[in-house]
Amino acid sequence: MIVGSLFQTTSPLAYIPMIVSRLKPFDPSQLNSDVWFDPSDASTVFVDRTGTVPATAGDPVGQIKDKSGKGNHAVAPTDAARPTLARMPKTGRRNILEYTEDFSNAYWQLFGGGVKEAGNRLVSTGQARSRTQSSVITRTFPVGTNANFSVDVYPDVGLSEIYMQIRQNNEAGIAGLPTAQRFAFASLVNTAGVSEKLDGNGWRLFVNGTSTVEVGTIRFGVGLGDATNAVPNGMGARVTRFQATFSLEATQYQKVTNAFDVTEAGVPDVWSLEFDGVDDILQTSAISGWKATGASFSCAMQSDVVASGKSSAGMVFGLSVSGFATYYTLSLRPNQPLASHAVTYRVGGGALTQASLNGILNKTLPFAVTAITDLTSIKAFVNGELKSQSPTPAAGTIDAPVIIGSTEQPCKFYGGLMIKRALQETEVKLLSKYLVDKAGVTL
Amino acid sequence: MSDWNLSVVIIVPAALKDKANYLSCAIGHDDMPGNTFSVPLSADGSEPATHYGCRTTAKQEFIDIMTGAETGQLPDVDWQDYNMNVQDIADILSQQILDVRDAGEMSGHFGEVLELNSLKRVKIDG
Repeated sequence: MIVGSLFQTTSPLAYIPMIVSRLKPFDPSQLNSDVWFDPSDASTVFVDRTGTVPATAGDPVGQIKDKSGKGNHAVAPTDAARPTLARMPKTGRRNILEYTEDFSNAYWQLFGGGVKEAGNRLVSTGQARSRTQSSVITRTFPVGTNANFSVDVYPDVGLSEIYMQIRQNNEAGIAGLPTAQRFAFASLVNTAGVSEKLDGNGWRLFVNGTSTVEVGTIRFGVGLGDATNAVPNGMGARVTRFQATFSLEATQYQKVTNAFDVTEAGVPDVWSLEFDGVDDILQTSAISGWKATGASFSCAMQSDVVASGKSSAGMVFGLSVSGFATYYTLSLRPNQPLASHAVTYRVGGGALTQASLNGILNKTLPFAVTAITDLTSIKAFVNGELKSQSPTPAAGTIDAPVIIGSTEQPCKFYGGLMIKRALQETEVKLLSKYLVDKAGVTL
Repeated sequence: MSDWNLSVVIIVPAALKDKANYLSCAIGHDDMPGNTFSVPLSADGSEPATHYGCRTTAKQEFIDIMTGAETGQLPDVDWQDYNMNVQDIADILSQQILDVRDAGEMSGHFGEVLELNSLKRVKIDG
């Protein structure tokens, strides 16, 4: 029976695996890559070059393990060449301060008396104006800069008021911003700031303003007492969760553990390897057989390029071999002397072919670049779209290590893969979307 | 929290490059013969290099070792295994340029130290 056989072969249950397959998010392991680096996978990043001490945000990375299963781990040639593992909120960093919950750090300095005690406490020594301020934050405040400052304060019993300090240095204020904003806890009287009650006896205090003069540095902190009235010796407050942002509106607090470790509650983390543009580099052992079947790489990066007038070892991701003749075999590198990038291809000392990305990349945002060589041309894709291509001579085999990092300009690496075949354009789109999402960008 | 909170730039004269690389190997930061000092430098950016430099992320204990060495407190290392003697270390320490900053100042650190010492990177054409 026809109906009966249809029921036997097209049961609704038979469609479930296909539907599930189509709904499954893209997974790079589907590509059977030959190299796959993912700094967001904590199980793959290590402080030491031998790969035994797990790395956390702020640590140097001496080895990143290959997730392809092929064992092509990338290692720093020396300890000095290790990039730094960084963690930032997906929405980007707003809090320009550092060590925001570590009041003991030297970043927080004392002015005019007072002492720092364990537990993030600022305590009066009985002098007028016992106060703390951050180290100098060298950030230009042009005229018209909006700024918002906030801090959590837990006053001792008997402490009636506290000051938020915003200054260029120890004394000079910034026109347009409240220099020393007084908050009186008993009455919550404040003229320019606002406060928010926290659990326990704490308050989160806010002030904002718009600068009317240009300054190049700021300091932000809290103070006990004013010029004539001292807080009694030994009295103080616990102060923590400092924040300074460039907006009039108060925004959710971001914890800045150090310059390479910033987190925000409820916001996904974005992990990267930060290369110093001096000597930081990671490289695999030589991997053979790239050319025979074509080759592709795709990576998520953020990198500016400085036009130096000369080509040099500015490559940020790709295959490379030591020696000038075959230096840039398949790579993303500066398109010198232009201040831009290019995907380049060169084999066996032949001519350098490059697919230029001049004027295409937005260097202030992370981007996914994919390079494909299929024996006849080199193609460069940005965020999954074909942007540039050039014919290439067919040539022999490439046996080369994969390099991450540049000795020309600082760059951030969010992840990347290399595959010994020319990817299809549908694969490029899926992979690009996956990689830039790792960098906090949604296509 | 990471305690790798320092950015360190070290520059040595070209004549001391090999010994400085050996020293890096001897204290466990490189493998013989070493290439820690890998960035060629000169006054105008042209060859030959007169100095070599590196930038690294470090812990305070690295600075403590350097400071101790300046006062004669050397790590327990068999220096001959690294083609060095105590005088070599003294030579490096007395002639090196050492600049230590917060790790957050990594970006631009190397370039600023070069500028302060009237040095430029030697570009390798390629």
